[in-house]
Amino acid sequence: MSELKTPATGLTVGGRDLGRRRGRSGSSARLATMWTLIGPALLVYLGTVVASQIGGPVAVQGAYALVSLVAAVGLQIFTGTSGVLSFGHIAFTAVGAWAYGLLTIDPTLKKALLPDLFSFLADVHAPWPVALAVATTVGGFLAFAVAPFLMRLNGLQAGIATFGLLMVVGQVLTYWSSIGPRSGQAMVGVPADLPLERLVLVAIGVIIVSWVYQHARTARLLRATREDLTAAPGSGINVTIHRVIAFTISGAVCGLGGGLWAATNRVVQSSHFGVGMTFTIIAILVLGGTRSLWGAVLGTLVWSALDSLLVYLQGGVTLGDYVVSIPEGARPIILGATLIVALMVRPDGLTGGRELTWPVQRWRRRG
Amino acid sequence: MTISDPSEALAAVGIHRAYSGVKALRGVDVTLRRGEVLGLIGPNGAGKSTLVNMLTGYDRPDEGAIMLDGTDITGWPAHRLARTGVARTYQRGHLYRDLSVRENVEVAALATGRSRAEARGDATGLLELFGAADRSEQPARTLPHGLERRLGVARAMATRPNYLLLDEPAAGLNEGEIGEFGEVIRSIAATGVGVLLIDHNIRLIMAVCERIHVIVQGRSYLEGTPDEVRGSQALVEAYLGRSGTQ
Ligand SMILES: Nc1ncnc2c1ncn2[C@@H]1O[C@H](COP(=O)(O)OP(=O)(O)OP(=O)(O)O)[C@@H](O)[C@H]1O
Ligand SMILES: [Mg+2]
Repeated sequence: MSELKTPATGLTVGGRDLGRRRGRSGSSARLATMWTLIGPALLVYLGTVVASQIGGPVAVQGAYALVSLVAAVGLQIFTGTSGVLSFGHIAFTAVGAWAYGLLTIDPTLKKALLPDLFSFLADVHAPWPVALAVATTVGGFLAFAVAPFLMRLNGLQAGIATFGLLMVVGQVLTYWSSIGPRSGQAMVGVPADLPLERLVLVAIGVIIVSWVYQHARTARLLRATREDLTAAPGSGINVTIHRVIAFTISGAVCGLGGGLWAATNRVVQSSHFGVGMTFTIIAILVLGGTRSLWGAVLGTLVWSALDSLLVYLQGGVTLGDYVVSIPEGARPIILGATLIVALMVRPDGLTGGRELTWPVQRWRRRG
Repeated sequence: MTISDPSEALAAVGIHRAYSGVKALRGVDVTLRRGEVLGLIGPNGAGKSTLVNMLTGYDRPDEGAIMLDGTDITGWPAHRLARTGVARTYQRGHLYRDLSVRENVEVAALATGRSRAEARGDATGLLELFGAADRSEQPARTLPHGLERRLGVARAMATRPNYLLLDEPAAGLNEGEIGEFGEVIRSIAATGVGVLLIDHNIRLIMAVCERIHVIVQGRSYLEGTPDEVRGSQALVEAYLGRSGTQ
């Protein structure tokens, strides 16, 4: 269709921008768009600064929160955009952690602790940036390799099939001693190369990657498939291709998260990467709102802050004449109950699946 | 009726399709030429929507072939056909509900090879044409029914099709809206697009179609001009007699 003139309206269609929105777009719209990147990044940065100022256990919790953030943002790239469930993303985190551990543990230590390793793995030693790059690549590559098998499924079938991937990967990492410790044992001695100030830069980098992805053509088309899987092919959208792209990027980010986990936890063991971690990341994302980057960020922040508070209270806090404490074991109950209440009140998550809005413009519109 | 130039048509040739025993289509031959409006009518369950699914790659025939401008495209996936100039709407709407009205249209333009700027321009024009411009930033799910139907057509047009297949696009529109809608369909055909129009509103069909194809129980039953079809006693028995005076 090149030009279309209708007797009804006399309007011309095709190739001509009538510029209706020009007035409202321009610089303020650009600012609002940039704010969806700057806002979350700023919040993550400030949160990290606060945690590192408080120091002690709070700084440690902050480091784990940044790792969770990377995994949650990674999962959001796929699940949030495609609307397809995945219970398998921790598999990418696991291989990322494995790669990072194998590359950074000192070879002498490695030979003693992991005697069955392939010789190239036993000898290799890389600085942390290289190890993180490899963790990212390995996660992305595994995702890309399994995507053609998984991406035809929808809904709960997709969720369970991805869970199958997690089971397979978990089993391989547990028992294959040529690429890790002997059955179920831990890889120890991962160097502490990623203090908070480096972690936060990586996390902000991931936020930027996610933001760039969300604005790419492929993400816009995938979002349409999420909204209506029937109509999407009729609009010319190849559902499988766009799902594979998202799944691969998402797997890469989760692989990077695995590298961060290894550097933060210093000990890597296959049992870490199971149902517990899987559902924690999903809970974080659902709590914040799966459909936005802001949801992944806010979900992580709220979840981690609450969790830290509960850990703190478990130790007992003196307020004047009283000692406030919660019993051992109450933490998961409170976290779980919070999740239930939050989802009852806000079924689409705390953010409602929307991106962060630019506060000034909202105020101006109201006035 | 003669096919003027077989290389400028979308055609179903001898189509059969059964679903676990139910014979939805059992011998359909229909040709949609560029620039014409072809009505497709038949009682409920006659196989109209099934035929649209065949023509748009949503489903494959058990027997028969789908020809696009002289090429056998049987078995092509729907997304490829959409990019090759075959667009459709759906009886049940199927809008991208939580995306904005504008994004519904832009996405279809982007997916069929438009640049961002072109997609934006096309969407602006189409939303004006279909009377949804002032609602372009709200989610599609908030549209009133009449606009919902029109947005479906706008989204299909955003693929810049040569053939446009409309499955009951006027259902639920009021008299005034139907009149306007008929004009829009005529103007689309006037640009060289072949339009297949399914509707139970016989008055609309008679008003805008050059030819009308009748399907009954999965078979091509008769085809002719509105006058020929109107005068057909067989049609009255097969169709109007059974499904009332719609
Ligand atoms: N995917 C399917 N699975 C099973 N049966 C189907 C399927 N699609 C269509 N049918 C059956 O094929 C027949 C034709 O259905 P179709 O929807 O094409 O009719 P229609 O002419 O569009 O009717 P209406 O006017 O009600 O829209 C019906 O009996 C229907 O139940
Ligand atoms: Mg139908």
